[in-house]
Amino acid sequence: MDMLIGLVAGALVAGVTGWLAGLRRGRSSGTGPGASAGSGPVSVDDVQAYAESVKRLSEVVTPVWSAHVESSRVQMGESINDLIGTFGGIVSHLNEIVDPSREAMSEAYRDVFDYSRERLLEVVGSLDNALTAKRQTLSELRLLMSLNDEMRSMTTEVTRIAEQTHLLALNAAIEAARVGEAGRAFNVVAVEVRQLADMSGTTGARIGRKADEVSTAITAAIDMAEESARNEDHLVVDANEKVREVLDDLHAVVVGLRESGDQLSVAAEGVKSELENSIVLFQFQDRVSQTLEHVRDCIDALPVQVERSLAEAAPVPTPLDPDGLLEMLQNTYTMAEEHEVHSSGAPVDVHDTEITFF
Amino acid sequence: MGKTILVVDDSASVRQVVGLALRGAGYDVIEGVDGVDALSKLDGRKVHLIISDVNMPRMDGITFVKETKKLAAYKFTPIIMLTTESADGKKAEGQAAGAKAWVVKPFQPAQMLAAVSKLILP
Repeated sequence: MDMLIGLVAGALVAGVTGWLAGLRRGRSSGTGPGASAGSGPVSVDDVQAYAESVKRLSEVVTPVWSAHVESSRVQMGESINDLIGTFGGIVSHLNEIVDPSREAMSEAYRDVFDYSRERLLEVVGSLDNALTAKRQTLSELRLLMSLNDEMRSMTTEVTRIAEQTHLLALNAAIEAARVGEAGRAFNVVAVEVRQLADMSGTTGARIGRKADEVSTAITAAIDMAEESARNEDHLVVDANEKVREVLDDLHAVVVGLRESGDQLSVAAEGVKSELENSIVLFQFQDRVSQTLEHVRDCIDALPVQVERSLAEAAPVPTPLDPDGLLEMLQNTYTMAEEHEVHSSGAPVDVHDTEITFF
Repeated sequence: MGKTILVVDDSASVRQVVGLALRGAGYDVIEGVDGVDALSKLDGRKVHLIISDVNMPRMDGITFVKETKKLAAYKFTPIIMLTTESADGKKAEGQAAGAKAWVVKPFQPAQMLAAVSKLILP
């Protein structure tokens, strides 16, 4: 932009200054404008030709300058606008995704961990329950064994009673035989009692054998149940240990994921903050656009001034009014920075935000 | 439902920057591209605050403020002028028209939000 303004000013100032110098020399020497050392007199036609070239410069070149300025201004505005939209979209997405996800992820991790722990503890609990039931069964078997022992003792008693009864019946039969005919009936009873005693003894012996068999079976069952309970005890202890290890591992993973999520959130907050700061910086586009507008308007005013200069006092043009053009440019300024650049001719820093309450 | 702020500026980029700052703070934002367009947005809806540029085509910000103050529904709506203009004469015009504050661009979002928070209708 500075180069463009320099070109405009340089071309016009050089041309007009040269023309005015020539005009002054021509008037003082009577040879016309444009006379210089080593060259011939300058005629009015020469002046008009030069004026025409200045007019053409203003008509042909300045519109192109103006168009370039405007095109650049519009392109910058559209691009910055798109950039702000894109940055704003990123900030919005970060707001929508990262912030809720931090809590959601944390809750999800906690839910998964709690659910896994509950399910695993349920499995261990089921094993514990099965083991408890097995111990109860073992206890019942031992009680059954005790009852069977009592039954075996009773069969021994029955056998002993049968033997005594048999002996008693035998004695009764002997006594009945001694009495003779009078003891015949009594002998019949004694025989019957002896037979019953024999049968009782036989039955008692059979019951005793069965009780022994039952005892053997129960003992075997108890041995198996005790062996199984010992194995399951180890199984439950091992399962508990493995569950604890799995839960510890899972907890470590959850903590790691949560920490990663927190770090991600912090990073995202940083990115969001940087983006928001960048968006604020894009305000330069509005200020630069306004300055370009003012310069463009000034460039557009130049051909008008040249036209007026040439038209007002033909055939000899009146001088251009650069001061008027500068004043017009200055009157379009809205920013303090524009005034400072205008007066200093050098770039200046943008002022800080200024707020006035009424 | 958040409070509504009308942002008036012919620069789309400024409208976006201001809008992002305000929406980020929880405000609802409606936009006008110049004074005429902004007046058409004052159609009876509740507007808790207006932020307006000064130099705009069709209707400038000072005229827009004066026209807004003629509308009964928006007579007491606070207006912040957000502009590159820093001349005291322009500020005086804004104050006379009924603006409550004058912010010279470029603005810092925190300062703008503080001004909004201070002036916005309950």
